[in-house]
Amino acid sequence: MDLSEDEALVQRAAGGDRAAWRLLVRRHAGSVHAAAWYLLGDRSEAEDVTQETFLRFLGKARTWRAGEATIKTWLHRVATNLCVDRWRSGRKTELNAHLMEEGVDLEPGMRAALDRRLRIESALAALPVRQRTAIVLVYYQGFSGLEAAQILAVSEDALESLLRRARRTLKQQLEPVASDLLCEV
Amino acid sequence: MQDDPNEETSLARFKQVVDAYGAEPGRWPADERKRLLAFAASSSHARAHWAQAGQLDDALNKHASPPTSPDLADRLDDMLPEFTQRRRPVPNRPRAAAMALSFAVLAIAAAWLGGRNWSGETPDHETVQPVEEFVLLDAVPLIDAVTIEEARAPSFEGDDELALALE
Repeated sequence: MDLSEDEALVQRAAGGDRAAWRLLVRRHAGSVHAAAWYLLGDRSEAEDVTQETFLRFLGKARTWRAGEATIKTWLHRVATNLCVDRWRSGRKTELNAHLMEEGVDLEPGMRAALDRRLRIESALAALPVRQRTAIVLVYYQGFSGLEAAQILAVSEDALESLLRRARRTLKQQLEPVASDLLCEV
Repeated sequence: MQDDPNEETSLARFKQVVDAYGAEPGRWPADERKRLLAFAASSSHARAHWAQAGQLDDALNKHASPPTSPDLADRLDDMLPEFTQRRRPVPNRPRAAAMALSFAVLAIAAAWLGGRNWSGETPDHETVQPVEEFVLLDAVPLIDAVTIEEARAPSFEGDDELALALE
């Protein structure tokens, strides 16, 4: 992605250019929403976080200074903060367990797929928040170790340690069902 | 066990990287990637460890996020005009109110002065309000709506917030 182009878009958006703003939204909203969804496990909460993140971004746009951080990094830092706040305030991941508990009628194949998905969701949700955030940023959002470390405000070594501990736990949790998880539906 | 101490070091680092970043070389630190790939090509131990890490990656890769709803994109699009409208400083109510009050006070003072005896003496029962008291009203710092709006915008507050939140 051309970062200088991103910054030019921010300048134009700050001046009220709707087309520039729309482009910024198209470039980054999906990624911010996905990160929030991985962290909160709830689509509607993830949408709220995405909206709040972009609202804050608008507040920052007028005084945005190139070189402070990339726009993507800044957005994810704010979104991560908001998710952590929500997570700490008790609105924790509820997963899609209600689908299972309420006995929603699903075809056997779909139920097996949902079951596999829930196992992974549960394993991720059980991780301490810093480890989960590190996994989401590096594995699902495609940030480099250095970028993820900046977002989490830790050193690169500390980030590696978080990732290693997270993977070790995930492996332990998922190993008993590993063969099942690796099956295609 | 490896005999070559350099290879041992490389294998240890290879395992560290794979245990953290997984089997996909694209996630490995860019400055080490080439060296680690070359090492893996020459080490069966490294390749075995690499293959094992790939299983967890495969499981995690099955956990795809839902797409963003078109409705969300529309709501985000609409934020800009709403936001810029809110920031427009034209309806600056505190300033306008203060100015209106100043004019009213001056008008009352002028009316009072116009109706009084111009002999230069003030009747005993009247006390003149010192004009400075009215002028001071204009010197009160006025609240600027735009300034408040800017103060609410975050300025990389994330660093401290996140560090604290994640403790």
